[in-house]
Amino acid sequence: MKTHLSLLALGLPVLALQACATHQPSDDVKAQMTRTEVVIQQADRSGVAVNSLPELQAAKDKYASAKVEMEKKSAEGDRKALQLAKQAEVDAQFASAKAQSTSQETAATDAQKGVDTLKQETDRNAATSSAPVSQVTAP
Amino acid sequence: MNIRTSQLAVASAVALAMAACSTPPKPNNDLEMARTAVQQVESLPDAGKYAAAEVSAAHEALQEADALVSKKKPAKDVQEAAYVAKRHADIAAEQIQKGQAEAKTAAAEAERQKVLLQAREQEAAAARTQAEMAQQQALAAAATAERTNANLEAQLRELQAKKTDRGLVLTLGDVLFDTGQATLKPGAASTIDRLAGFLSEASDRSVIIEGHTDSVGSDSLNLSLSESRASAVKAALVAKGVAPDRIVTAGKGEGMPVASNDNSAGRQQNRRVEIIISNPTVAHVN
Repeated sequence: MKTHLSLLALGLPVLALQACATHQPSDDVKAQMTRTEVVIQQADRSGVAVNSLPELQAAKDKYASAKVEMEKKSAEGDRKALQLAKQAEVDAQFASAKAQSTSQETAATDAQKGVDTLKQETDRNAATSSAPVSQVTAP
Repeated sequence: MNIRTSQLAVASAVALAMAACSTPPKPNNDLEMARTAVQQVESLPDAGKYAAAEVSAAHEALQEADALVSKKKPAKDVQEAAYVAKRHADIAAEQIQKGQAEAKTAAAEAERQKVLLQAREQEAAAARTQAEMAQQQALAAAATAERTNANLEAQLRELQAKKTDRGLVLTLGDVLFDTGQATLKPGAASTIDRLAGFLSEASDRSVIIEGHTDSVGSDSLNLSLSESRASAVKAALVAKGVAPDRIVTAGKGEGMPVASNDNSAGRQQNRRVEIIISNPTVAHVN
C-alpha cells in the first residue's frame, strides 16, 4: 500500500504504469488458488483414468509451484502464482474431461457389444425355435 | 522496493510511449495455434450441444491473450495465456467426445430394449404357433382316430363279429372246409382278407383262433382236426401279412358245442372255427 501511494505521487508516468500493471491483488490469486485446488481434488476423486494422469500430475506440479510463488508475497510472485494456478486449473479440468470421455467411450463400446451379442443370440433363437429370452438378458 | 518499482515505472512509461507509434504487434505462434484449436473444436457438429460453456471460456482466454499482445506483454506471458486457451479447446473436445459417447450408449440401450422386446414377441408368436399346431394335430389325430374307429366298426359289422365277454367273436362256418379236411376253401378268402385288413389297421389287437367240431368221430380225431383247422386259418392270415405272434391257435375238439349234436343243423353249427378278437389294449379316442 505504501508503494502504491508513492507511485501515485509520481504522476502521469504512474498512470501509464497502472494501465499495464503486472501487479495483481492478492485476493485474486487466493481465489484462483482455491478454485484450482477444488478442481484438482475433484479430478482426484473422480478416479481419473491412467491415460490422463500426466495432465493431472502437471496440474499438481503447477499448483505446488504457484503456492511457492504466492509465498514470495510479491507482485511478481502473485503474477506468476496466478498464471500457474490458472494453468493448473485447466490442466486438472482437462484430466477430468479426458477421463470421463474415455470411460464413456468404453461404456458406449460395451453397450454396443452387448446389443450385438444379444442380436446374435436372438437371431439364433429365432432360427432354431424359441429358447427362453431370459437366457440372453444379461447386461 | 520503491527504487525497483520506480525503475519499472519509468521503463513502462517509455514502453507505452513507444507502443503508441509502433507497428501492429507481431503474431505469437502459440496464440495462433491455440486460436486454430479453438476454431476447430468450435466447428465440430456437436460443439454447441455438449461444450458451449467451454468454447466460450476458450474465446475469453483467447481475448485475454490478444489483450496481452496488444499491450506488448512479453511473448512468454502471451504463451502462458495461449496455453490456457488451448486447454479450454482440449477440454471442449473431450466434452464433445463424452457427449457423443453418452448418446451412443443411450442409443445402444434403446436398441437393446427393442431387440429384447422383439425377442419376446417372437417367443410369444412361436409359442402361439406351437399351441395352434398342437391343437391342429390333436384335432387331426382325433379325427383320424374317429375315422379309424368308425372304419373298424364297419369292418367288424361286415365280418359279422359278435360281442361276447371273451371279446369279439367271429365264426367261420364249416362250409369253408371240406369234410374231415383242414384246407380252407377259396370261399374263405374274402373273409380272411377282411380279417387281415382289419388286423393290419387295429394293430393293438390280437386274435385267438379256436377250432371246434361236432360229436361225430373220435375225440382225438376231432381234437387234431380242430387244431389243424385253426392252424390253417392262422397260416392264411400270416400269408396276408399278419404277424404270427399276434395269433394264438387252439383245438377245442367237440367239447364246446354251440348247438345240439342231435340233428344235422345243430352239428353243422358246431363244426366251426371261432376267431376271438381281443379288446384293444389302448382305448381309442371317442
